[in-house]
Amino acid sequence: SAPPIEVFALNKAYVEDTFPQKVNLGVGAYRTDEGKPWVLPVVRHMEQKLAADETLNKEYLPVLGYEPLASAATRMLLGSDSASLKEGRATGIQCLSGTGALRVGAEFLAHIGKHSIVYSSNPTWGNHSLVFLNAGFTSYRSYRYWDAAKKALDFDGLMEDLRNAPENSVIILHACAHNPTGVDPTQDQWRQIADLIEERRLFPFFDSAYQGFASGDLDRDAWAVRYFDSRGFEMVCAQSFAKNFGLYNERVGNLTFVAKDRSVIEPVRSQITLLVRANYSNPPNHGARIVGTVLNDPVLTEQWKSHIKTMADRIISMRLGLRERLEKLETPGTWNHITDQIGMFSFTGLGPLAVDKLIADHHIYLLKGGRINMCGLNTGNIDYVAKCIHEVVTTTQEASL
Amino acid sequence: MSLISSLKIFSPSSLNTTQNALSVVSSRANSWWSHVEMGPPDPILGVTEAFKRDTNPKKMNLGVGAYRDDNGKPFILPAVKMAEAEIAKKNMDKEYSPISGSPEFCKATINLALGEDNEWTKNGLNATVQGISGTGSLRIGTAFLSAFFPGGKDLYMPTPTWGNHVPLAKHAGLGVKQYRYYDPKTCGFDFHGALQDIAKIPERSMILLHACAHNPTGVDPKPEQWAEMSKVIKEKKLFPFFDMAYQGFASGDIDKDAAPVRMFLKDGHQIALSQSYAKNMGLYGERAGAFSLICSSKEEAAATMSQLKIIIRPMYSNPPVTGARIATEILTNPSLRSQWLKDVKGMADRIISMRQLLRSNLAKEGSSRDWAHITDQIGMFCFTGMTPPQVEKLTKDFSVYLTKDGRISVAGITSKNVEYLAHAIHQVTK
Repeated sequence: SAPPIEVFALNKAYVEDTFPQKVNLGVGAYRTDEGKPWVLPVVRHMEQKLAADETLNKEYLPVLGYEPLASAATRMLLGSDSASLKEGRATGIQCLSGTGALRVGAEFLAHIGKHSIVYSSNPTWGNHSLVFLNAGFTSYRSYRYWDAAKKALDFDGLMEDLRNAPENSVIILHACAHNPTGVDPTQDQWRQIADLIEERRLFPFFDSAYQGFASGDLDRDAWAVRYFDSRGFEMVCAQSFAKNFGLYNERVGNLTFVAKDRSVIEPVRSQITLLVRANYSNPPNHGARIVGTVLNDPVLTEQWKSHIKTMADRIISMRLGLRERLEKLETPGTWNHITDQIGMFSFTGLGPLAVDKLIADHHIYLLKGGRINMCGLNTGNIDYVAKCIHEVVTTTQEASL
Repeated sequence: MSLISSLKIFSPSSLNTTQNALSVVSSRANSWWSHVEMGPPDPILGVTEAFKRDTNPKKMNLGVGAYRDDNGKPFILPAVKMAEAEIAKKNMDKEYSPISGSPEFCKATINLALGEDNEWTKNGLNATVQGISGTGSLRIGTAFLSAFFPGGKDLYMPTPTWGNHVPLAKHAGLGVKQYRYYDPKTCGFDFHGALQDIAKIPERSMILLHACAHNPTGVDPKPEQWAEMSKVIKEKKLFPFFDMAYQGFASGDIDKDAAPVRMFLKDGHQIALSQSYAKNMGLYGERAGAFSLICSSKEEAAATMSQLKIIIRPMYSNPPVTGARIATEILTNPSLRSQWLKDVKGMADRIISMRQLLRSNLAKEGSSRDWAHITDQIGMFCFTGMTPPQVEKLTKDFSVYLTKDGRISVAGITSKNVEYLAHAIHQVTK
């Protein structure tokens, strides 16, 4: 029997807890201020529209997916000014959400590109290593990222580790809203990272799970990817529509491929076709139609953008609120990292003992590494959470920040 | 990556004209993927593309592996429409499914295969996970077997088998071997050849079996032949992996179509099973299916489940919900379930009647060939026995499109075009 996967075990424990003030700061899904899941109004509208459309059927999608979705998703990522897009050097492939896009991209890079070494940040999303190792990579390594003492990006460590990476290594880069820390490089730091990747002949693989969801602005959240694109990099980017469309369980994603030369696009697509066939034949239809239709309709797109802004703004206000309260309580340590960080997650800096206490004594559920999901906070529980963090920090030795 | 290091010779100081030419060359040579070759074209896709280009109003597409109604149109099952309406009323959320899919879906699915009151589900002996339709379920299963099967890592498949079985199994890390199945002389089941080959398979190997409506031949063993195979497979200590993509769709009777699976369990085999709702519920693009292992104890089933989840998470984390919700709604809502049984029987009956019409029309045309296999075979596909030159002629002269192996999708035949098809087939085979 295998050990339970942490995020799911945590959620199970939360669900089974009967404490009335329990708080779930574990699973990475958006919650409203009432603590409820939110199906975006534009999604509800689309589902009604699709249900009423007699011309639609349930036939198989092409192996590489619903083309209106794939092309719109790639355009959303790279921006309509992208040179690679204009020159036909960029292409999109519908995949099973972000994980599926990572997997297809990783399988292509391993089997066809013959890459064998992959790096991701330390820490990173728990599933990165498993995806790449199962896809055929033989070595998974980390580059330094989180500076626990400073509660910030360990930029020097990052650069040193990338400098020492062997040529041809694939480097996983979080496009924005780094999971789990919430700490993103600055624009200047991205420039330096790009220089180094170019110099050391490394291969950039972006993981973009939060475009729009991080800052509320699609273009702003795509800055790093677009910068690399403008530099002429060949690269791959896994895109998820789970969070920014709230379509978690429909598994809508896209793999964007950018090449130096348009002549490689067709061969690459044909090889990916073979990989997809051997894995799941073709992707699911329903979520693709929702996203594909919205992204290709200016009015619906504007509606969608307002939903993203709603979600991003609520999260930002929770960040402000938590930081404010901890500073007011004079909780030992510094708390500016909560508002410096961006996206769904925050690396609080709380150690394992503090985390255990939060769970056991206060029924506040978060991951062992101190990651909290800001969406789990709302005006109803933010006082309680701040109070409990204060309590565990002041009574736990290791949690000195 | 010697291509890239050789590019150091292209310096910015090159002349303009040569630089333009060089930059085209160098951008391709500078690419990580200039070595990537075009993959082989998909044969079935090729058939459909050629069909689309054909302007003959009498053209027929017999390559497509999806059901069509008597007007040649895709068919959305009434039960599916009703299920969707019920689901819409519930205003469900879009939260992540469990990695293994909803427990309700998994239970309904395995019970569909094994029977509502089956002892295996009742005793918690099954480990069932939702998969991305049949393909995804096979992929999970082959990945599990590749990692955990204690015997030989070759999967024995019937000759012929679904085109995707081989690359899929290899991709999962399994070897692929064959056992005789189709007899081209009779266009039927090579029962003795199959038994002989199965008896020669090394002990503790895995054997893939099409539960019903064999793809691509449409040739299924008879119940007494299944019984014999079960016996030999048990004697040789082989592990049966059933691919059931057509339950209900083959004969119109869900119990009849699942009989071989249930027989094997009764005979004491522990099996693996892949199921698909693509055809029998018309949910093709929604990708609903499941993979199951029938274990010897609850503990084993639990341990197996945990390992299956570990296989799924790095593939796509958790499965798409829409198709699974429709299937669950249909199977657990009594009035929808009985509607569905009618719908699936309707599809099976239409196919069976097209088989009968094709065979009788061939006789009417004056064909002296034995076309009994058209009605002996079952399911979506029919191995006509036509040779590649005959197939070519059928396409060239009559705009009837099918794969080179002489396989036709009976779903592409309608009461309006069956006479034309019979005429065309007779012309190329007389």
